[in-house]
Amino acid sequence: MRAYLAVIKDSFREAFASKILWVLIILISLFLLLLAGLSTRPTIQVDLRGRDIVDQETLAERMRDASSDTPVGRIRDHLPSDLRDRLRGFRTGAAADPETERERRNLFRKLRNEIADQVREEDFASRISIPPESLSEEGQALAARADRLSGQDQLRLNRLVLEATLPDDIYESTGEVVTLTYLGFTISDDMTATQEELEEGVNGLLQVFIFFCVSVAGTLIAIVVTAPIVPRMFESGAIDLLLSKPVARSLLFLSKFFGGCAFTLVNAAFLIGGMWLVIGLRLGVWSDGLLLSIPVYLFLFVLYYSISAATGVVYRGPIISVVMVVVFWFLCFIVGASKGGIESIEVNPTAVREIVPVGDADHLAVNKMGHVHEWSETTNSWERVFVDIEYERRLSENIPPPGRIGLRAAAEFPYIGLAFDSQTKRLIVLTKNIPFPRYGSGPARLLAGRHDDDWSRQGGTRTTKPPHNLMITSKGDILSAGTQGIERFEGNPESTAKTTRWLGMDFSLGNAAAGQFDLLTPAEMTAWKHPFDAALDPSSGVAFVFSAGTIVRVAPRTEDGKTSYEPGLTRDLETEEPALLAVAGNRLLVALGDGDYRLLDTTTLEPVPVSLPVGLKKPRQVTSSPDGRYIAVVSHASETWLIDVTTGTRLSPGAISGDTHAVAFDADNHLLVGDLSMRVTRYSLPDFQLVSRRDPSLGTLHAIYRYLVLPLYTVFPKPGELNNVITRLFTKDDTVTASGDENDLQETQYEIDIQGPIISNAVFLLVVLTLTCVYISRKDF
Amino acid sequence: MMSTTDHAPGDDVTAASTPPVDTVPQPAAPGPEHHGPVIQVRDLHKTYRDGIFRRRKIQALKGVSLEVGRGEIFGLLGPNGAGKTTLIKVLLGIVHKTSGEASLLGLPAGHRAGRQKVGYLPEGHRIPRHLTGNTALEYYGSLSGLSVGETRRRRGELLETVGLADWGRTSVTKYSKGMLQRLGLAQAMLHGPDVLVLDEPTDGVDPVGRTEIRAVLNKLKSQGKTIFLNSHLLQEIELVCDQVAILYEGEVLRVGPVGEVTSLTDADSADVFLELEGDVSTISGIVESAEATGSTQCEQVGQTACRVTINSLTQEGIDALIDNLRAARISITSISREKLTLEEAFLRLVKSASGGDS
Repeated sequence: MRAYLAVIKDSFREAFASKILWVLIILISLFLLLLAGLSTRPTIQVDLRGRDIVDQETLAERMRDASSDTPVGRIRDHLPSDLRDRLRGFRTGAAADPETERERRNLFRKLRNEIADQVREEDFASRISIPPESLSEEGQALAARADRLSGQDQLRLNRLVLEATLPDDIYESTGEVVTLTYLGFTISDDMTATQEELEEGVNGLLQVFIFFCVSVAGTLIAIVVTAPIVPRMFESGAIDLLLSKPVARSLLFLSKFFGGCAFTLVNAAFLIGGMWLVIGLRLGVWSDGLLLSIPVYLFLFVLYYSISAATGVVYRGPIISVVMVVVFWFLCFIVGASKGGIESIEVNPTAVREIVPVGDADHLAVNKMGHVHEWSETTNSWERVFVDIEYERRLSENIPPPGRIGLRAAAEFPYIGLAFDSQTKRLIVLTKNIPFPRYGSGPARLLAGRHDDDWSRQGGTRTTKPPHNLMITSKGDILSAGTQGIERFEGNPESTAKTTRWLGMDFSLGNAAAGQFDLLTPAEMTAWKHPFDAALDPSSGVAFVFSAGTIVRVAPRTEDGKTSYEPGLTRDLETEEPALLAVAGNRLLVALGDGDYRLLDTTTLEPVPVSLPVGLKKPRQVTSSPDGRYIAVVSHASETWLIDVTTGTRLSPGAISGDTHAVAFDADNHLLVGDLSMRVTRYSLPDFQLVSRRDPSLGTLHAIYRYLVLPLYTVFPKPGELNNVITRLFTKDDTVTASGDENDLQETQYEIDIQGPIISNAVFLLVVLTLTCVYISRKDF
Repeated sequence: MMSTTDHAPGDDVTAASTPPVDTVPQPAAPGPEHHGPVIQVRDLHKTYRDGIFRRRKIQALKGVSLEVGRGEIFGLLGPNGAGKTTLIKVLLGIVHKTSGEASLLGLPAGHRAGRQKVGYLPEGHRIPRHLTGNTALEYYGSLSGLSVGETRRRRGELLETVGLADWGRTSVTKYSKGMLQRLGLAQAMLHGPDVLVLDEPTDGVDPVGRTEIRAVLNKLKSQGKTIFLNSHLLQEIELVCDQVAILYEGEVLRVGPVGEVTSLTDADSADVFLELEGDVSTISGIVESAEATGSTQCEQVGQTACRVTINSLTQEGIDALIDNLRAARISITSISREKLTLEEAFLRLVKSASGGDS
């Protein structure tokens, strides 16, 4: 052991003899000194920032409608006259054209700035004059000594008065915020944040720093510094002296190798540990993710260094060692990029996103691009139906093929919901109004299609409110549900509304004859909040709404032949997670974003015992069987399982494996499972016997992916994926959302796999080191 | 101890002193006693393979056999490429043998326990440039199983022994070639090995330094150490070695005590010198009738005396010549056979093996 420790010690001696290292240590020290100049100064939150406003549209609406003798009206009346005029003309709902939409957003911004300016006026609190009891505790304390408040306290009181005036529109502020300073000087008066926001921001910056400066630049520098260590040991004249000593060849090499790693660990610990200490002491942000990134970074380095060391043993030159590391990195990048690229443009866009049972034994498959497919027994393949012919024509005319590939990769699932109305034998689709909804939301359009009309796309009536769910009752009522209420469509969904198109977006010109959506929930109802989801018990027509952690039972009521929906019983689930809902029989499944699945009684909303294992993954889709016995769940980890609501037990079908992306039940209560390859399999329940399978032949790119790229990727090391581990350490979230909206569980989310890259890289490391040891033991030096 | 030719800038030549050879460390960890030959090699073959696809074979050793007894200084001679270093590397396990047998201290060549008792100084060794004399000894001492404390205890005396007493804290980058050689010798002796394998130990060392190293080797021998020496400097081998082996193109041409190798017992190639007294014409007649294959010279040095040189006469021929001379009542006042230096013997053997004139 002594001999091998001596080798490790010698690696340190050798590395410390390197001038690059000393330069590096000096640079790190300087960087830490520069960082130590940062600090925070506590201050009071006064400014009104965009993120402080719950919903800009609602705020504008409230300001417009307030009467002048109310506090809100007094704020409105103090606005500049031109802004008041614009407010007067303000209409809710997305604008019909982009120009008007731009004006709307401009109005929101101006309104916020003007309100912020008013808050900074000394007499704001007295001018608005709200009853002290409506103020928060802090506000009441400040108001009690209103005549002897300091300037900052006065501003704070103003802010609290504003919050009390618009409690539904402005989030409560925490009071104390911090502003960033450098060497005691305030960096910017606008840069204020709560400690929580500061932590979030600092962690975000640290994540970027660790990725670019440590994982990329740091690894490269460490490789260059340590590259000569192994080759020098194996130089002629040096190695024969070492091998004459009573030491094992393999252990000699491994000691030298781990000596290089230990040296890098010391340096990484100096940089990252130093940053952790400085940021903790100066900003009060103790980022455990930063500390935990040290072993992750070291593992990344060890992986690359194994290539460097193996090359050093064979070729005995540091330059070729570094070159081989770069080549290895490039190969890993190529393999990873090929996989990612094909997945983006081919595999993911064509994966089954929804299965829509139509009739008794048929079903449509909808991929992530929103392409609806019907199975053709003749060609044994899926054929596109329900095509937006006009959109496709414009696409082919205006966008060159490379651009279309880009559009495929960027395409989002455009549908809010697809359902088959068995009464009218119609496919009912609620679709978003713009192709890239992540850049905005608004009312949706109702489309319909019939099998006997070759599923041609008809209709186009717009909802009045932005919907989140499409629901169809057993009587065939078409309902849309969103945070602003539940609407019902009246009319013929196939009637075409007059619309105009601009930049791929439909803008309705209004057509009452096509039908319309009527709000069924009370107009004065407080809007539900995000994260939101809704589900319907088709038999009773009762809707269930998930609104920011609260379940609301919304029952239909018919009075004078008019149906309305009244929010009734509520249950606070005490969660901040988003959720997906499904109703089966008298049970409501609430599938939460943290993998917590709760079963509630639909009448009382009381929890019902359910036997589920711990560690279930985040849900992507939940759906219930027509007989009300089963609820199927697909997780973002592509796992499929069922709950038998009659027994409260979980059924985990071993027969279903692979990349399940969508599930549905047909009219016979068979389970339909769709996967990455547009394959849809039908299983009988509860035995999961395969009934039938629609298995289309793969396209060329998809075949290359499955038979070449994927196997190569599986056996190849994945050093790049270790950065995902760092992301996980900082965000503590196990998935990344493609759209950035973490509350949208149905949106594509990529699970951050920690075990996969660690295992694959560890196996690769083991193989490289073993082969190198075998080479050394057999080699004549 | 430093010579004027291999000291580095700043070296205090006057501080040098005769090496206290009696301070050479004794074995640190005596193992089980081995009574047979320290080194035993039988029909040893080593073939190197070169290239990736069309692998070229290079036969470095072709059936080498030799033995080295305890306490001997054994010299291995041979021209470049003869296989000397390969033989040493096989013995130390640095190179794997192709066939045959090789043992060191009764253990198979390369065995770790065997290496524990061996000190090795490779030819053209490289001591890492980031080390000093002291840290180099600490490093190699640890590799030989010594604790740092033990190494520190020994290194002062050892550095003095090899003439580097004042250079322990100096980076090896400032060492001359001769100093590096001395440091290499020090590391080989550091753990008090039973066997020292020295490959060109005086390479780059000035004549004074060589004398000092010879003194160290003789002292080691007096302590019962076995020394396996590989050197191009034949005079040196001749001076210190008990036995020598001459290796040529992977084969042993001759092995034995130095005196035996230099005496050239192969009479075919030896000259015989005679000093005779008697009738000169009789002497001339007898000498001319001898069955000499080479030239015969008869030089008259007085009225009744001759000096005769006979080249390449067999032992039977010499016996017959002497019988004839004595029968003719000629007095033989002196008879001697030619004596070669080791270098001359080496050159003759190598020339003979390569097919040249001997």
